[in-house]
Amino acid sequence: MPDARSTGGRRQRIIARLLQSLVVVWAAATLTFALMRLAPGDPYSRPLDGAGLSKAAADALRAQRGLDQPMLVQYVRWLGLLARGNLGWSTMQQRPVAHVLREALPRTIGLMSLALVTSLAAGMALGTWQGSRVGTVGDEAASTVSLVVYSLPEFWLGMLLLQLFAQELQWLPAGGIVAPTHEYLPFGERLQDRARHLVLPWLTLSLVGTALFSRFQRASMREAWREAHVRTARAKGLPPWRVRWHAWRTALTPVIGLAGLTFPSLLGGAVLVERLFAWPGMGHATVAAVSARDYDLVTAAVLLGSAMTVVGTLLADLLQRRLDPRVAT
Amino acid sequence: MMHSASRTTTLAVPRAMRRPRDRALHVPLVAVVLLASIAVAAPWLAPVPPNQIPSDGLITASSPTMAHPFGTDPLGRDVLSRVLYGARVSLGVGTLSVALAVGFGGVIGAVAGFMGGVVDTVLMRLVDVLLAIPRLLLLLVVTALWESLPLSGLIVLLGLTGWYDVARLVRADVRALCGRDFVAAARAAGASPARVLWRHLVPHLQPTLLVLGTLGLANAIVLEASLSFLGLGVQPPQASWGSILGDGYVPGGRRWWLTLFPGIAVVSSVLTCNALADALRRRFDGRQVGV
Repeated sequence: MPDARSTGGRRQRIIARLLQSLVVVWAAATLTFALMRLAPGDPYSRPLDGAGLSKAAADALRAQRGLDQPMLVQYVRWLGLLARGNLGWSTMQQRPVAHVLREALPRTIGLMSLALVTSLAAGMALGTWQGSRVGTVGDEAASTVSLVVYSLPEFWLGMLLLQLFAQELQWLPAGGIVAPTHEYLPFGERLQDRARHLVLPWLTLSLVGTALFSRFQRASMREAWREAHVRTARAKGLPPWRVRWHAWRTALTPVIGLAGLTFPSLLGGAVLVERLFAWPGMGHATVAAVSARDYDLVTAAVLLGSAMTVVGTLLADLLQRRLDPRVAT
Repeated sequence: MMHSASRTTTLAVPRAMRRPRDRALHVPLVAVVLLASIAVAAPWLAPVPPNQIPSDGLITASSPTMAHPFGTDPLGRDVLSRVLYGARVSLGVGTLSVALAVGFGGVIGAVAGFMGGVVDTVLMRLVDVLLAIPRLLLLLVVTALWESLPLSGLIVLLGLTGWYDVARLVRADVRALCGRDFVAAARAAGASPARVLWRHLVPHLQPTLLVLGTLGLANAIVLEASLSFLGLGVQPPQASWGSILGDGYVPGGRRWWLTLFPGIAVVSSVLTCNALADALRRRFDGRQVGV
């Protein structure tokens, strides 16, 4: 965005970006709103919990929720509620969407951020190690391994780990957040129980994430070595570790950008992993909500996903500007 | 992403493509040919029809035997035959949707970059909005809402959600190229905008389009497998690698052959695409196209 530079002033630029982000999120949510209502069926057109609704009862429920109104009227009402921070009513779970999110979101964010931090740390460490010895046997071997791991679909890796560690070896629980007996355990064992349930989904997400970041870190380190200031550092006769620091510092910028982009994809990627490991988070809730035509919950999930995308990109962008004065996109 | 730093290097490639003996490029190319031949030759390679349910009453999943080297699925269907036929769906859906995405994204990106001004702003803001919706989430919503989507619908859907990156990177390429002398020379020589775009700019987009297409194929294969695994992609009884995984998966089921073989098929195709993309990138002067 060249216009961002001309307006000058960091604060103004950030405000402009925030406003733009708000528009993006609004547009994405509107798109979902329309998509849901254009699709065949509505929350009351199909049996809930297997029990069919009579047409009169369904119509009464529709009238109660305002679903009998024209789409434009519904849209304006939904937008009005949204502006006041009301995400609506989940027809499937029979409670406000906000309550559903308050319960499911922390579970997803918790798992995902743990996986993101692990992948970032491990991936950057591996990529840096490789980036300092490009072309050696160790680097080639690590590159091959990370290419293979990077090519594993997360849900398939999860299925393999699940069958190996939960079913064959029975070392770890097959799913859920806690054991059914969790409530009755002493404190220490409760922690252990939570950790044991976390291992497999965390490992699934972290392995693929580590491969992603190590590949990227290696590539950007490689590119950084060609930069003039790194060459200068070497020419000045700095010790190798200081030259490496220069390269690492330069390579950091694109990696942060990738991390910002990856953050939101966690919500989407969560769907399959959560389903596989019976992890009752956002992905789980969203899948169920779509098939139940739970308009408000699905719209809220997409709204959240796009908000996270925008925030992730924005944060990465700001951080990049701080770290690298040359960034002026 | 930051491409500007590496953008200064030359974009023309064809000569580099002809460098002999690049194993990193040739191995995945051979694998592509191999995978494509498997998909094409599935009817001759498969021991039995993919949807054939045994008539002698053995309607159950059984582990690999001599008769069924990959075992059978819960309906007694031969997994080897289903995996072979599944290659047609998985690779076909992937390839066609990527062709759609690259074509569409290429046109949008080229138009935006070449025209500039309002057209550029409008198109790129649209891309911003679409990029903000997590792709898998959107696919999930649409496939679940319109149940029993035909295969062509799945292709269009994957294509329509896969062009944003192509458009952005092609636009960046076109804008960088527009400032180059040969474009000015072509314009000065009286070439029409359409001619400048088609004859002078498009050939230079080859590297970007090739790499993005290859990466997009890897993505599309995984997405199709994910959706079909959830029962939202291809419709039964059609076999795709994802649907075989989904049909065979029961929590606690202990049927490794139903996970292992179709999964290896997915991974080998995705690995091939990623290795090919890596090799192509290296050919194209190490530019970081795509993530």
